Amino acid sequence: MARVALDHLSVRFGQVAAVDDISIAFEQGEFIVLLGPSGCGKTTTLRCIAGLEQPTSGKIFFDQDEVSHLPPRARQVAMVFQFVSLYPHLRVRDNIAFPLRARGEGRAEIERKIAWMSKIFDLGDILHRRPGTLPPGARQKAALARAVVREPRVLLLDEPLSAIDEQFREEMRWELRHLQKELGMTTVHVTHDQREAMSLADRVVLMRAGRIVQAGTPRELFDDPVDEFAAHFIGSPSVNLIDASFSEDGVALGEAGVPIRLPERHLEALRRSGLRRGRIGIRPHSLRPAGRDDHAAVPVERPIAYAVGRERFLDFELSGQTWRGVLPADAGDSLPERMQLDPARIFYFTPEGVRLPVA
Amino acid sequence: MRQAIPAGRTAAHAVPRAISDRTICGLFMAPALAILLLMVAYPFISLLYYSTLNFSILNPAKGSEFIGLQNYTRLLSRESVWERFVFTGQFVLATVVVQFCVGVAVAYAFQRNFKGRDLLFTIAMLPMMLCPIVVGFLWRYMFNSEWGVVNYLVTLLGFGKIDWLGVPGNALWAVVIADAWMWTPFVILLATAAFRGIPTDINEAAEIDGASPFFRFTRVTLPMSMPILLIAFLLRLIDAFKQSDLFFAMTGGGPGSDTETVAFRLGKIAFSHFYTGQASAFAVIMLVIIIGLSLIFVRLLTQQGRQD
Amino acid sequence: MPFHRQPILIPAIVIGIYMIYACGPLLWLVLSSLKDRQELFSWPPSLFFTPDLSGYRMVFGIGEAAETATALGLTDALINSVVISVSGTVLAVAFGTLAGYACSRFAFPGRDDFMFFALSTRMIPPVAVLVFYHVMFSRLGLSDTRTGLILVVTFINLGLATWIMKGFFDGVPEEIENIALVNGYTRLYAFWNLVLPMVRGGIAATAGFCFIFAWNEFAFSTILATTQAKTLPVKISSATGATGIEWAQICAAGVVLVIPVAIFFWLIRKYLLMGMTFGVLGRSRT
Repeated sequence: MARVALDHLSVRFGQVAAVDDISIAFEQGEFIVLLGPSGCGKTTTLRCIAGLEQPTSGKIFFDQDEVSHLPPRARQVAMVFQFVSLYPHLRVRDNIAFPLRARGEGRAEIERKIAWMSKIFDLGDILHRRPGTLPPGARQKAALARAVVREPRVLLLDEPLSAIDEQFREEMRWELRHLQKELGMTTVHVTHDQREAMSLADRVVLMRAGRIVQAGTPRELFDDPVDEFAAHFIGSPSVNLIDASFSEDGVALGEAGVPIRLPERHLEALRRSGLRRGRIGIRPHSLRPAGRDDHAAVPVERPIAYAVGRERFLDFELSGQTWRGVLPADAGDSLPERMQLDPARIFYFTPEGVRLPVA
Repeated sequence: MRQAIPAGRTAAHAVPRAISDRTICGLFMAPALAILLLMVAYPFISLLYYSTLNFSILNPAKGSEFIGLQNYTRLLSRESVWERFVFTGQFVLATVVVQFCVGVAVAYAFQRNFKGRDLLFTIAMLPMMLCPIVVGFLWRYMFNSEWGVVNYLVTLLGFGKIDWLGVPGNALWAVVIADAWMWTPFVILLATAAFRGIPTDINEAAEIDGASPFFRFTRVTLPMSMPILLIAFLLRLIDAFKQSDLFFAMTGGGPGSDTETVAFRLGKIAFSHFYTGQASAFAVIMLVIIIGLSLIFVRLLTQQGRQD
Repeated sequence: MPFHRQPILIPAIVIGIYMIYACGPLLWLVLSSLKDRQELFSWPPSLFFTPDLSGYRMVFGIGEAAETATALGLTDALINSVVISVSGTVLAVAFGTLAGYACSRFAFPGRDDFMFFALSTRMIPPVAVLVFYHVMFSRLGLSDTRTGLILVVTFINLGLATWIMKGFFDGVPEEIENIALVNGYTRLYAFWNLVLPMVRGGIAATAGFCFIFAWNEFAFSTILATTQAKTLPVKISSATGATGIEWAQICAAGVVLVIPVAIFFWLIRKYLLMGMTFGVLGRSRT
């Protein structure tokens, strides 16, 4: 298992920079998730690490070894692909043996490792079947076994769970997480599903337009997004956002200019920034019915309450936009007239979307 | 897909009751079936019938005499006929092996993307598009022992001129070179189609798994494209077996009748000697061989399919 | 630093050597078509010479070259060839498309047998059946007619056309028709307006193949077309007169003949590769 370092990595396809000057290191044994919308460069980054794509500039290191220009087969990496991940003409056991045979390992050694994988992944029943006859979940499990069996320096996963149905996916996530910890594999996992990222990663690397927006633990990304994009991309249901104007008198929200009372400390920071306008964001879980005190509260118009499982949400209109908050589970049927923003969890953004620190 | 599926019709434009799928199936199959049956059934029944007769189409007035299987026994007891089968076998084996080794290798090389590949590929396909009779004459011209360009190249290499078409052993190879020249493109085309049908992910997975290009070729590319390669092999095998145009143009079957293939000899019996009965028996033998070969291949092919 | 996923050297050598083998004779074909009598037989064979168009003149029967006894004057044969191969291609593609669709969508009894039978027609050696075509044609009044040859050309391509088209139809999801059927349209409507446009590429590829074989068909035509219906390949083979073989003329004819096919092939090249999987690979994909 290796530490992986990307040093000013760039990949250009013609005029387009798919990956734009990325520098980051993944520690040994770390579970990294590259997250972002499609076209953000996450898959290209992964393929660079695999050696399937050529960096236009920059370097890639596995521990001390520079691998930037090595062909894939010299890198000792393993990869699981999104759809076609197994060799369709080979039985599962031969699929698992494939990377071992490719490197000329002995027969006994191969048998031992197949048995080992079969035990870890519980493949006993399907070892002699062909991929075509297996459900997608079992296929990806076998693909994972084929990747792990060769004890790679880095395990690369390219949306391996997206073709699997919801129920089985949860189970696979759980298994993947356990396995990764058990074997201590440095793992780089690509996904566009923020929930998957949050539930798997030691560290999430959020990307956009070929650049890293933010890298940190799932908690950090959720609580402390660096900009509006990060705040918006992570969290479900997603963050409430609204335009705001800042003046000496205070803060007004949306086109309607709904006034809101904010902590003095925040107003002070806004004044210091000299901004006249910007945006305010609050996660639904930090937006709750207001008590008697109307500090940081907003009026509720045209409310609709609904429950998802045991969680209750309240959608309402604020200056022509729909906002979402949560209701306590034990609240009665009466709907609150005002909702309160948790002051410690309000995000302020400049009109360009950069987060404004207020603490 | 360009068209959206149109929204349903209202009852007002109710169409006349739709034709049943069964009828459509019948209608769609009818023309193909009719032509194939007409063009196959009539000659086949005639073949079987005439193969038992002593009959010449040149002299129908003389009438036909039923002689049972004598046409067959006479043919098969003649050593010269067996020699034709041996010669044809040698030719088929040589040309198909050459075509496949070269064709598959070139197709694999064409998997790499490079500038101008499409153009180069199309040029590589050209020999297949030429008229077979022209190909025959072209190679005959080039193989001419006195002023042919092939012998010129041979002399450049420091050897003496070779009598390509006048010596049976040489002539065999000369025709193999010409036949392979013309039909390797067909193998390249089918092999390329087969290779491209392999998902990119599979090839990338193999690379990541540490497979060398050779390992990948033998363990992934070849097995995965086997069904199509088998079809290509069958088509080439049969075409080579019935090859006569090239021999007609290049050697005329000579020297003597040493370079006559089975098909060539059949043509001679049928259209030079006009022994229609005997020709029919000969054709039946040929067809039995061809159908036998293809049944073996269809068996192989369905076995391949069943593995998945 | 250059990046090498695999060494390009070996593929380049393989393609390079093959291209010499493929292009050498092609070059020689073109060169020889431009040589006059002296150049044709010069030793050492010449690479550079003053081009002489008499081969081409003889092919088209232009000018004094046309007066030569062995000049082909291919105009009639050209018309025959175009009419026969175009009609034969259209018919084979049309019937093959219909049969390919039926074989792809309906599981009728004997379908697999039909598919094998269709393919096996390509295996029949022409000489084996020619005598009886001759007899059959004279009974039907088709001897030495374009109609007769169109029938033959359609026949030799029909099996292949059915196979290739079935492969393309297999690639079109059946939901296409099902949705239309549910919406009250007939299967014929769905076939004509929805499915056919989706396999246009396949039709082009099939037509390409059929045209190559139709255009170059020799074995049947040489026996069945005795005078009136002679096609180009048949006519060319007769350029071997008493005065010997007119090499320049044969080569010129070869060049002229291959041009339409090559253009056609270039236009449909990307569909050809798709078509030649016969729908077989689809089965083994995961």
